[in-house]
Amino acid sequence: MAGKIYKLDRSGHGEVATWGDDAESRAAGAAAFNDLVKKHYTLFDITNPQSGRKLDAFDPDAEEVIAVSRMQAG
Amino acid sequence: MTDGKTYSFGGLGRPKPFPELLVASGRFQWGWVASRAIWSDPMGVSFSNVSGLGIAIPRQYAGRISDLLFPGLQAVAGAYQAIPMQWANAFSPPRIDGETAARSRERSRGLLKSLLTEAQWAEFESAGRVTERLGGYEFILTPGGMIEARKRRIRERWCVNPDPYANGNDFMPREDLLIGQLLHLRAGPDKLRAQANVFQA
Repeated sequence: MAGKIYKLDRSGHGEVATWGDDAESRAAGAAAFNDLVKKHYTLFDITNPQSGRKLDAFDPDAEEVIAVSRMQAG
Repeated sequence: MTDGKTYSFGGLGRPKPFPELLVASGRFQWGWVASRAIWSDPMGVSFSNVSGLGIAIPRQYAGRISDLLFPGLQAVAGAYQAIPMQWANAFSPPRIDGETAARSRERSRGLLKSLLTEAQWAEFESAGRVTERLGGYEFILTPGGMIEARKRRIRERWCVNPDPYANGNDFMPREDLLIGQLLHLRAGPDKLRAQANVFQA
């Protein structure tokens, strides 16, 4: 099973990290996840798109994760 | 350096000769206009808003004071325009090429479509908005950042945008704004409401 993190931002969509079943790539995925959380992104697991589950911690079983920038009053 | 004509800005001020050199910068022109704006109060006493600072100065002194400030304003505007473009870009958000923008938009459309039901996607395609029903509420999401929340007699408008907000100098597909709103809404409407400016409709 492989997973990806995409970031929605103003420089265009980019694939931030991918991981597979091995521990090394999962660690890289977790590091990328934590880095985005530090930058105030909110990460959602959209493996099941209709639910859009919010992730509070890195989930290696998530197949597709998108990072959405934080929201502010407009 | 005048064209021999006189101009009255907005009909509010006394006629002034218009220096053509200043037309080079629209921004500076308006600064100059603001510095010369003169108005009269209902009692017939005239004041001038020198350099747009909101300082009321009797009209008889206004011309002299703004004439004194004028060279200083001109120097500031000149220095601003003299900033090399590469320095200016260092403070601006990055611009992305058209191909990346098109690819991002295509991907964000695909992503949004996967997040919506067929009926919601059809609504987005035709009306540019998305209606989401959650917990007895009906939320109408628009890419402009406004969410309308309705439940029986309750009707609110929440104004919420991604931070940093994408303006004309950078790029974020409109679909991305909807994706952000939608996912935050599904994760918890209360949390999103707490982050928004709420208006009673």
